[in-house]
Amino acid sequence: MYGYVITNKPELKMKEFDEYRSFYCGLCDTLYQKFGRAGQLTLNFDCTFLLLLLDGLYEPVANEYERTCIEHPLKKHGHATSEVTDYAADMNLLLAWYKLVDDWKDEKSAKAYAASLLVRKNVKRIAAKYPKKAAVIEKAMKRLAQLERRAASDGSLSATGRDLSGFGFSASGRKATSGAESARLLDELAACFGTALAEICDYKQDEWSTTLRKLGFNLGCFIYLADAYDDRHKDEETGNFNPFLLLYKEMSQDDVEALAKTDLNLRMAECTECFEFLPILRHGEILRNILYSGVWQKLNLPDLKERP
Amino acid sequence: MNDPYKVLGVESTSTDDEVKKAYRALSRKYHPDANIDNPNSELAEEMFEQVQEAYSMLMKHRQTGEPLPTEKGKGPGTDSRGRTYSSTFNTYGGGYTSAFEQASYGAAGSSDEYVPDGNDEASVKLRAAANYVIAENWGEALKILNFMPMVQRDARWYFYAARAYAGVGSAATALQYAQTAINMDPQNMKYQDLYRSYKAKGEKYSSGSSIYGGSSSNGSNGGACKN
Repeated sequence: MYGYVITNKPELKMKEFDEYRSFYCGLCDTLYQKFGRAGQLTLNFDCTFLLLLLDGLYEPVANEYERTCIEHPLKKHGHATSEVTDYAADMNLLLAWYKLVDDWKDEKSAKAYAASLLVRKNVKRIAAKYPKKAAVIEKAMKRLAQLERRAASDGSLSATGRDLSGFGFSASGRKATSGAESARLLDELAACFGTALAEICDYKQDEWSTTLRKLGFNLGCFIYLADAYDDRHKDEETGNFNPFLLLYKEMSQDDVEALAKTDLNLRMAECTECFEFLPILRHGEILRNILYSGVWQKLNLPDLKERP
Repeated sequence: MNDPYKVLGVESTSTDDEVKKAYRALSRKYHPDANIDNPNSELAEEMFEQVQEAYSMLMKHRQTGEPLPTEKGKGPGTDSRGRTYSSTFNTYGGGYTSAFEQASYGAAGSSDEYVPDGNDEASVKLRAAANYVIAENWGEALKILNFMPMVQRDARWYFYAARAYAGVGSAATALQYAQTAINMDPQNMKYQDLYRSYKAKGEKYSSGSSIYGGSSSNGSNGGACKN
């Protein structure tokens, strides 16, 4: 699920890319200082975005330094950290932890299990530092797993767990648009990750709390949807649960594609509206590059390439 | 109600970035944390709130076209219920309100929006739900709507349910329910308009993204360190 919130690199100015990289490297370095090599390996781009977003909003004093790093060992380059980097590193670890747990439960990945052991002690410490956030994230990820499990085992189940087929037909004698209830399930699933990201984006519970939460919520929904969409064929083959497979049972392929595209667009529309509402000047163009263009880079939306 | 332009010291022709810069300077000056030692801290707090309110009002106006209170009575879409804008700063009407719901119907919907008539049980319930939707009380609306059995779910049901789900951020549901309303009553323009407004919002974002390289996936790698 991670790796969608990235830049569209060719579209970035050189100095914007340098700025992005210096915060990325600063985050990486901070992860290493705080959590060792295992922690450093959990670095993801989504938390780099979080870092730039919050750094842009709060403009804390930046600590800038030059050095080489493990991924760029040849030449010294800028690293930037601030108090927000510390927070982003903590959230990075939390997110990575839940993903690892998910991976080893889902795919029985021994590698994921081993990796999780290496960071477990630090994760416990971070969870204790942010009890509410950790609780919300954990609950959301558990609910996501639960909903997916339930939907996988019973295809006619509605999102609320109530079997609606017993209610009969609607007033006009026609059933709801096919796919309407599967769309509801899709929203419920996406909202789990949305809720987790909303909680993460709500850094200080201040006057920007509502806007940040809404931004995070929609971005989280987008990420879940994009990931599910990209995996739909693979999941069909492996027999893993995928909400789009349910939609395909009830709607034509074209209709599912159209719904997916509109849904993804609407999520980013909401997200960017929140972003533009925030009084962010610092890193503004990098963040816009990510939110308006970068998030689409990894996605495999077939007919977008034909668009004029 | 103070003129937000005056409070922030900007013009209607100022760019968004100029507005943001002005806001940042003022909010830094009046922020509670910056005024702990200030004997006039209460005044600073009041100024801080005014600055917040002005910024929020102005940005909302610029984003949604909602008229500023200083323009009240001058144009369509006036919030005739006299709702103050400070309530929109920290909440979107008591919870999470999706802006694409607001975009379709203006601020909290106009008070003269049509509600279903009829005295049968379904219509009575729908009327109650509709009023909640207009008031942006999505939770209460959904409670009523979801408790109605399938036989009572006609096109009107799907219309209000779409809006309520849009209000709580369930985009796919809103889209499909709007589509269902259209299927059930293809003649009703309201349902077509609702669906179109959702698509329009997504398309507006799409077209706005072209200057950043657009949404086309050209296979380039956006990572910082993979090249």
